[in-house]
Amino acid sequence: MRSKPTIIFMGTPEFARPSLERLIQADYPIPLVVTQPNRPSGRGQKLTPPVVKQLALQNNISVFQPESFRHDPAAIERLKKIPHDFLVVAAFGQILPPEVLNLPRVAPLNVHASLLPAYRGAAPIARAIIEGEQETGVSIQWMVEALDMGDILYQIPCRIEESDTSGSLHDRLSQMGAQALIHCLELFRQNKIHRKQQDARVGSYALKLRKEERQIDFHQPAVQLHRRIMGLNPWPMAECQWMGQRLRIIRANFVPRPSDAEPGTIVDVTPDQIVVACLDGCIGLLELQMENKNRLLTSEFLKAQPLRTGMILGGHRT
Amino acid sequence: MKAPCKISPSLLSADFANLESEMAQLDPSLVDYLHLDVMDGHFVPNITIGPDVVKAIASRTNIPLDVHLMIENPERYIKQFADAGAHIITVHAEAATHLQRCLQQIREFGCKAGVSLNPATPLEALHYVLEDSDLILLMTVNPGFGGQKFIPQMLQKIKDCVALIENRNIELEVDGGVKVSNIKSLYEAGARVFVSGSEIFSNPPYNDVIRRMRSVLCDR
Repeated sequence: MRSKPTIIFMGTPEFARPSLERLIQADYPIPLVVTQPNRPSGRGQKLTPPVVKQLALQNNISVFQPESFRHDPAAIERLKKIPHDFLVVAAFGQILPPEVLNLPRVAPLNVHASLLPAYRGAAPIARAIIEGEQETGVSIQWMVEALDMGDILYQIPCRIEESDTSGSLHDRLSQMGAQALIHCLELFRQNKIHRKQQDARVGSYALKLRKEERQIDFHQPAVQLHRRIMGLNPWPMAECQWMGQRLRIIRANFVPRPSDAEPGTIVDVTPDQIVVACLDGCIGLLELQMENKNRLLTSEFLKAQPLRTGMILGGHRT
Repeated sequence: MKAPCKISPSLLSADFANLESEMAQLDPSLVDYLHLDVMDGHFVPNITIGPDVVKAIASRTNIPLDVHLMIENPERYIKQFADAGAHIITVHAEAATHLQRCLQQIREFGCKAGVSLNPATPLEALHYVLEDSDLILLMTVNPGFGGQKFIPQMLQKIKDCVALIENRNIELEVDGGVKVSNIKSLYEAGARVFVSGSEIFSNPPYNDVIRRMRSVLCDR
């Protein structure tokens, strides 16, 4: 029996973890894990090692954390010294130059959280929710220098539920990504790989989320607002104004109830949701967080904050 | 956000003595349209090509032709450019006295009807022809010559134009100073079709520039 192919793994955040975990479990030799340098994170802005680094160290795998490969010949040299069959990249967060992509003996593979060619780019999960897609998925692509334009090797579709946030969808897709990756490596072993070329002219782009996008405008159709709120969770999290303070909307649902109230008006308060008028229809606020306070389910939130029917929440006119 | 980004390389910056070989260097799977600038020396201070050259170009490429008429009285020439093989014909709101009729005429000849505005022309000029338009071309430099710099105030105009279009099935194209370095901000503002001349044709290999333009939209 031939031994398993050697893999250099590149990844940084939570999305990459299941892929690395599955590779370790499946006994692929992984001589090196490459991840971003430790960055300040959390409330104390303490220097924190990436999730992937922690997992690698627990498994006695060497970790390499270069600032960038693009302007660092020494970093590329280090990879050259480690012969590898595959390079596996999952949410690494850096652009790789061709010198790196050409190193693996078999292929550089990438786990991408969309059904390419749809949602190429940085924020495929959130953008798919915001755009109201009912289905997304994961793709394994043969990386090329042009980002997310590589041949598609394997895909698994995934339904988007109305109750999905970017967070919950991310968790499912990261597992599916790992599954697709393992399957794809198996296809390589059996020599059954099919490369499906991408046409650059079709497909779409999922631009990175910007902080400013959290400001929501109630003068928008309720269906769209619901998607935005869910898509912006967990970052940057939707936000409106109430009593001069910022009110974060963690989760909401779509309430198919016509309303001719001024958008932003609270038209109903039930034990577990605050119903707010939008351009057409309403949304129900299910989980909220006041500035500098804890996140609360609406039932709890209402005990502390006197929100009543007829009050108006401030949005941000776009 | 869902709409793809389309690239329309402008032959204005290509080598006019070797148009065929210039076109042949473009990978048709990377390019959506081929932008042809027709100038008459009246509407703009430069003269370029006419229907015969457009026809010759059409005979040598399968890329849909995006013909931009920077000419006075465009209604007099619609038929000729349609017959020459144009896929989209775009006229200037400032140049067509009977703009609505002109746009209808373009559609009657089986082409997509585009309407273009110079940088200083307000979007109000479009209000009553939205239903007659398949494409809006915002000039982001003053038309006439290639290689000019993008006018920064046009970013707001693009955003305002997106709001004007609403959910209508109209493509929003920008022309002038489009580069790898600013295509992302133009896309974010809402433009979806990008005309680019000197950026592509001054930096061979052309396909690499187009790939870079698409890649920056994926940048993490």
